[in-house]
Amino acid sequence: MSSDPALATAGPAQVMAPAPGDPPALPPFPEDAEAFSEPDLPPGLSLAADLARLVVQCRRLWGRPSPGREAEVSRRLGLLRQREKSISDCLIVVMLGGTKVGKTTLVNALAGREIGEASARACYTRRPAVFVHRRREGLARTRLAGILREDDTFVVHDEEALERIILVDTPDLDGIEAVHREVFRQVLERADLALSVVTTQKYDSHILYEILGREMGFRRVVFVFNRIDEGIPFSEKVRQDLLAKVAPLGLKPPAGEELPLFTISARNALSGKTGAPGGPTGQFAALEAFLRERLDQALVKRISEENVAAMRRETEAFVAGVCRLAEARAFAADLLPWAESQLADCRAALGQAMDKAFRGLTPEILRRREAAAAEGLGGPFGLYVRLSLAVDAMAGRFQLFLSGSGTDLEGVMAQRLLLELQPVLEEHFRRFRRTVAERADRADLDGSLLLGRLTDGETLPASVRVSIQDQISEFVLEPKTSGGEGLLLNLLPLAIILLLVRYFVVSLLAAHEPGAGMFLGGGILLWLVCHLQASFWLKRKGGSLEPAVRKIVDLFGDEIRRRMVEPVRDWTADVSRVGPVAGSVAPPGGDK
Amino acid sequence: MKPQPGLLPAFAAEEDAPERGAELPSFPGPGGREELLGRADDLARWVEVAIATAKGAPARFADLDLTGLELGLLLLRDRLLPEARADLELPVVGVFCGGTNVGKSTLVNSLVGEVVTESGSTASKTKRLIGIGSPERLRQVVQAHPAFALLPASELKNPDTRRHAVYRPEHADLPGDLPVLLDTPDIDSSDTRCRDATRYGLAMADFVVWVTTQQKYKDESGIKFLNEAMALARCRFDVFNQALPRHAEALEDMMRDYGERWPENERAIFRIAERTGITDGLLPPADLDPLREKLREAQADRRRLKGQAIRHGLAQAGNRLGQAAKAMVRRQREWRRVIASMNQRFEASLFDPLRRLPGHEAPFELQAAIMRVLGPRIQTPVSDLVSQINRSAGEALSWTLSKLPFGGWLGGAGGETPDPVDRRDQADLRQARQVLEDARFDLLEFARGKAEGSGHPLWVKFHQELKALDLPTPESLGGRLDAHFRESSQRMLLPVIVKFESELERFCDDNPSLITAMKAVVPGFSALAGLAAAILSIHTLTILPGASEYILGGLALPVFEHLKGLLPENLLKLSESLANEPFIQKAREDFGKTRRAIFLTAADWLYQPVGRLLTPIDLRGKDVALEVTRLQDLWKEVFGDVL
Repeated sequence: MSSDPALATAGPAQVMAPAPGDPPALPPFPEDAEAFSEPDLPPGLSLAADLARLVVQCRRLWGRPSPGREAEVSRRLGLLRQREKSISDCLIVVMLGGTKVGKTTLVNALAGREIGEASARACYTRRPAVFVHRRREGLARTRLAGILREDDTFVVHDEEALERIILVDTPDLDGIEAVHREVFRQVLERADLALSVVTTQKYDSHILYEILGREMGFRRVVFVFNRIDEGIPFSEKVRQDLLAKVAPLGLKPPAGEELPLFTISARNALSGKTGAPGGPTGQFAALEAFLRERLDQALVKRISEENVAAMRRETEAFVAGVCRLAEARAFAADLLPWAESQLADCRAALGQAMDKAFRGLTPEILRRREAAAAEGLGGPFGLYVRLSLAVDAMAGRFQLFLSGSGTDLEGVMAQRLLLELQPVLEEHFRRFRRTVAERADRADLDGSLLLGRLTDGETLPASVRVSIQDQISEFVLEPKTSGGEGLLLNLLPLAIILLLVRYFVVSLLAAHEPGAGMFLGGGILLWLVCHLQASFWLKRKGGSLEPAVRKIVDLFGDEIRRRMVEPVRDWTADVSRVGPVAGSVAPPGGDK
Repeated sequence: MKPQPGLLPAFAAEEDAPERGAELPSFPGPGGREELLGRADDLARWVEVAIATAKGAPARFADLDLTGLELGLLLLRDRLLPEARADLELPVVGVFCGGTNVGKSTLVNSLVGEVVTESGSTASKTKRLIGIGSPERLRQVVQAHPAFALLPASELKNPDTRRHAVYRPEHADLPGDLPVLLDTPDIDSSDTRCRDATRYGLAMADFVVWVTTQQKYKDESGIKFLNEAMALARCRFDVFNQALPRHAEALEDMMRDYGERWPENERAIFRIAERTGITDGLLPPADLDPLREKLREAQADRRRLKGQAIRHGLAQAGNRLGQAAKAMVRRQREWRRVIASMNQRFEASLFDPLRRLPGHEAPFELQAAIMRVLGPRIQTPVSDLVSQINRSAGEALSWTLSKLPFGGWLGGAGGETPDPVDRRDQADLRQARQVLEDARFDLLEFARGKAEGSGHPLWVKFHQELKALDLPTPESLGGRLDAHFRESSQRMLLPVIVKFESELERFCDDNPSLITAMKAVVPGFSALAGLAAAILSIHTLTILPGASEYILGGLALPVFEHLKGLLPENLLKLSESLANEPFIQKAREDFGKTRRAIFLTAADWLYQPVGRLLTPIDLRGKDVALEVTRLQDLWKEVFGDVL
């Protein structure tokens, strides 16, 4: 199995679809991770279940692993689950080698009888064969589930010394039949230890070194140099050559530092055991001693546990790679600040558009505000104010007339404001969506799941229009003229009028002709006083539109926040809640 | 739609019709050896270019299997051409191939009678081609293959030995009735250089001696090698080496399997038993008698052997060459379609909208130039006064309008008279910025859609390359556009306007009669000199609503339409003749073209990085299968006597 998850496709990834005669493959990956919960294992001890949950979460949030790789992921998680559930006091020992190196003969020799059929013809072994102790039969069947067929050889024995070993014979890895290599890879995935069988003719094969280098991973290796009874004799030079070629591959021996290497003749060993006349067997006895005694309970347990831990690490790294967990986290980390900055840009643009829109509307709004202020004003001053407002209002009506509406001016204004601001908003929103899609694409994630959370439907709800309308109305109807204020304002004009009236009455009583100039002057004075008062007072009452504008901008800002930033924040929070899994060895970060 | 020069590569027409080289005769040719050599050479050159093209654009061809090209090249350059030139008189060469430690070198040594090439128990002793035979013959062979050199085996001690060379050991002589033999490196060793070197051996081989054992006869590396070798060579000697009695089943299996795999090839099978305890590294001569006999036969019947080998090669390797060539040509066509599709998209989303910006057709500057030139010329003192009044009236009007509550509507920005040139430019720049931004997003979305939709490796790879590109952000594009536009309008538009103005002045000077006619004919209107110039400019150029000056012009247009019936004929004729002047049309076109060029330069900033990815595959079209058939016929014609 590849130790580099990104290159997992180079490894036993292309598992062929099961042929009609095959046993059912591992159960298909369930959508809800609950099916993976292990009632017999406390939570946190089943990495496979945690990883399954992780995969489901990742797929929900950013669409990876993509559908094309789901089969691979479920297969590996199934393997891990199987492995975690099995008791770890037994090793699966697999034969590894090219065709005609003597794998089947070796298995037969170790078993002491004919387990598999050996033939002179090349690529003869086509299916795996299992040699296992009675007590471990169930375990063997479980661990090799999904590979073994009905008619595969499955031999059960009673030898105590071989209880901790499950011997599996495999097809060749360098013949012309590609299926053989597939079957071999499937078995190797589940193995703990490989007996790499070579001969003088076949120890320098590039296929062998490729597999040893890339697909062994945590599995232990023992070298067996077979067929020393024929062909070019084995020599020290050959041993050195082999060890030199194997050194850079980083292979793991079962115990200690050195890779064990046994030179044997399996054929002669088998003849020896079956009673037929044979020849020298080389180090066969040592190999048997190794498998029976050296691999004792403690060592087997240790190897098994280390292998399980390594498989967990490998699977976790693989899943993190396939789910693109690191990329998604980086993407989410960058996304939120960017969304906030986009929000700020949008608000600025809206503010500008708002100013422009209000420039036309401001005089009208101010005038209506003044009219509302003048509402409760009585007396001559009030009359004057209302008269001047009426003159202005005629011009205002002119404007109204052009816009073609009746009394609901605030509604009309709100509508116009919306119409002007809507395109700005839409454009920002559209740009936001597109940039999110592009950034997700660059990180090789599926952005549509995040985009789906952003509120679709770009038209603002009617409530926004109503709120704007309310704001304007509030502003317009805000000023109230108290009675005292009215009285104060009317003081001077009333005084002047009274003076004039008094003058008129006095002149009438005195039978004088009232001077027209007096009235003219008085009238002018009155008008002057009223005008001055009005300009000061109205200006004060007019107030500034700024706060209302700010409030409306805030309204839009909240709306945008709700549509753009909040979904992003939620999504980012969901992403941060994904993994690392409990009970894992190390959090998957950055390693590909 | 003409592509702008230098901005978009020209769309090449689909070239599927096979091209003939200039020196090749028309199809079919006169026949004979000349045509055979000529055609083979031309085809070989095409294959070399094709291989170089595939290597040069790995992203486009990585998923195709193009070994057929290399096999075809080997066949043409190294088999057909040298043999045809030498009229099949070159020495017969047999090449010994096999896996590690099968005993090739021991066999070769035993045939010679003494140890000439190193053999040993550790793997891959032989790392280069070793030539066994008389020096003259070896020289002849190597000379016929110009890429190779003949060197003494002592050179092998140097660390950097040449790969395209045959090394001859000192006493490596064979009797004259045996062919030249080449010992090759192992085809399955862990050293890749060894595997490559054996292919060179095939370049010179007339027949193959395949050495294998019971362990290796069905290895994948061996079978794959033979699949290639059997396309080139017709005759194969299978040597089942290191045989033991119990391997009999394996030998039968090998005979059956090889026969099924390569039914087209002639073969002979030899079984050489395993010999233990040989001290001098040589097998007993008696073991090799059958093989020696067969080698003698091959040497004796060499013309037939060679003739048949190449005919076989043309059929097998030629066929694979044809298929590989077809795959390449098809891929080239598909890539052309991808390029066309992307370019179309660019056209539609980027170049076309920029070409269609409204400002290109609104040359206000030219209008102003007309007014500047004509105005003073058709002025009279009275008109001077009236135009002054007119101007003040216009200003007063705009001031009043701005003061009124509704003035903002008509004026836009209350108080200031907006400059139409500025307004036009701002509107165009805004639109152009939008176009650039949309095009930039659209480009990636389009590529992603195509990659996910079609799943074709070309689109998928292109989408990946596009994602890796550092495209400029919309903000930076907008900023650059503003600066570039300001600078370019200054640099490029100004000369156009100045040139137009000088031409107009020259025109007015050349046609004083026209001016006096206008002055005379416009008595009633000459007072309104400004209005007259405005009307003339309306008639010669289109106008868009704008400032108060132009408002009057804008109002004047319907007025003008209304009064057209009342105006004196002469004035209408005048304005029409003025409008038909070529230099005015040309000035408008120049203006439009220059302004378009300014915007399209900005579009190039977005297109350039992508355009670099869209380089077409440059491969001359050729119907390779047809050429191969013709070569087969020619071969039969020229060397039919030995076939």
